[in-house]
Amino acid sequence: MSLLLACLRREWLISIRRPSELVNAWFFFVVVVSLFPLAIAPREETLQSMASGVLWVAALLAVLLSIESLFRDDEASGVLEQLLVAPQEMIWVVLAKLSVHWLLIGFPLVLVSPVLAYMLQLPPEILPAVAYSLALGTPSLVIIGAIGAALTVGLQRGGVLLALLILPLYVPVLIFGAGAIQRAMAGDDISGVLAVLGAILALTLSVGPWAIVQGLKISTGD
Amino acid sequence: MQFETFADFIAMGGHGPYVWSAFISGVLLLVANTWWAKARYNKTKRELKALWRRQSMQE
Amino acid sequence: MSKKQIDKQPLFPRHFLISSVLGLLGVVLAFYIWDVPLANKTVILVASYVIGWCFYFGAIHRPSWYWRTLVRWYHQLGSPQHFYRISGWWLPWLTLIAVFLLGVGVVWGLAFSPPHYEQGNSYRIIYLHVPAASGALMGYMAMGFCGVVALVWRLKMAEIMIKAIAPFGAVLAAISLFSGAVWGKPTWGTYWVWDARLTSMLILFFLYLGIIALQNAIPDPRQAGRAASLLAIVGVVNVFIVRYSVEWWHSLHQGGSMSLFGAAKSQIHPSMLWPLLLCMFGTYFLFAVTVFIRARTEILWRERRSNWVRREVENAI
Repeated sequence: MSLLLACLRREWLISIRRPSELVNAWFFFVVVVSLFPLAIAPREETLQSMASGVLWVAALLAVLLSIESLFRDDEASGVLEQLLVAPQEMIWVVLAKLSVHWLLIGFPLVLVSPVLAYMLQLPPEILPAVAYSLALGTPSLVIIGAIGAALTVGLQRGGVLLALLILPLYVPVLIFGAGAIQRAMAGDDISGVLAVLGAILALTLSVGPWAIVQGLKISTGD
Repeated sequence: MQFETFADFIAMGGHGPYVWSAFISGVLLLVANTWWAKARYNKTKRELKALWRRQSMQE
Repeated sequence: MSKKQIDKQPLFPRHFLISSVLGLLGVVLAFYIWDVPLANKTVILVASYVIGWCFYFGAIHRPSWYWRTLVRWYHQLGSPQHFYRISGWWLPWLTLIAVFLLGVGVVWGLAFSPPHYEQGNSYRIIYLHVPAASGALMGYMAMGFCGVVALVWRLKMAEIMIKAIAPFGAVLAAISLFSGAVWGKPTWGTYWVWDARLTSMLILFFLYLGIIALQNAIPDPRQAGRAASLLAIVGVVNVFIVRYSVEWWHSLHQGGSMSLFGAAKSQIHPSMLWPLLLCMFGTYFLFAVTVFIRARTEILWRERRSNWVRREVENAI
């Protein structure tokens, strides 16, 4: 337990001492979402019909872009290999990394998403659904993305490769995440879709960290 | 035989363009893929022979 | 035989029970997974019953032979040298069978099988589309299986197999996507719909591309193989989730998405089924041929420092 706390503290300090990367991810989300009304005619019904997709694809890309740096600095400085050969369980380190990453990247997206949804002309009663679906979906995005980041960690030009590996794996989360917003707009009950998002999160949370540790072992050459 | 003439066979009752474009591209891809794998195999053999020849010349 | 031994004899011989169970499993598979007519189900039932009976009969009468065969297979399949030799013997025959099955199946399907009562002649694309789609799916399942073997037992051959399967799987997925689109135009009036089957095949195609790209990006072959194994396992889980998620999602707001076969498949006539089966098995054999060729290439390159490769390559001109 103290190991987990120590790792959490370390990740937290490393992340907030370099705020530019965090701010970049947040702004990426905001800028991408606000580009769409400029590219497509800003009529209310057009914006409403595409709002769920725009919000979710933008959140997905923001997570994808930020996840690349999850293990990069640790690998470059050699800390990662030290952690892997250390007697402690690597899985706690990974869990700490994932939770801090979600808290600093995913959670701000959740917080800002109602504002952006309102800018996309969604009616105010839909905004909680937007926040709920992102809150349940972004942790899965972070965990799945981290599997790809672990597999591509020591590679040059890993960025495009990471996108190619990870984007197909994001499809189920995307379908149900955007689906929750669409159902809310149709006036239906969204608890079922949210439950499926939660089930996906439970699955990724139980299998993902193991796969991430395996991936890190593979890409550091055991 | 389901078709009276060869022209009927090509026309496929009006669906000819669909059926033939799918089949020709598909079979071409299958053949090209197998041929390409075989060519890679032969090339690897040639490269290995060249590699060993160079090594024996160095010794 | 003493009285005690007679008491121990079961009412039915055990192999009878076990082969019945295997036969029943075959029937369940035939009825629920493989949508074929009753006559063929009977054939499958009898065949799986006989096969199960033979296996169990052999196992109780010559257990050591079975065990030794299993161990020998494991070692031979796990050793690149043995695989290279065995696949060299099999390749010409597999090629012959593949060409024969595909040739007969395609000609039969294109020229001799009757037209569909609704779709006319455009349905003949089925003889390309369904074999390609099922081959792509089976290839991915095989890659996931090899991935587990490669990560758990660290078998070098399993990594080589993943690398050998991926290119042909991607080609089959591309063929099934293209032929499906071309078939959709006369049948549904559009080249593309976001139906569960189409979407999951598209994702499958992307996953194949991802595995190929990952393998090309990592310079060390062992490391590349193990990374691809992990990605293949994750991908297999993903394919299932994508398939069902699209299905559930569309059933939520579309009310029963359009089905490719609908009533037609359950009543597919033998004159259409046989060429389809020939094409499917021909595709599987062709899959085996290309996988063997690619695996042999990879084995030669990876083992190029060993003596047997040198003998093999220099002797065979």
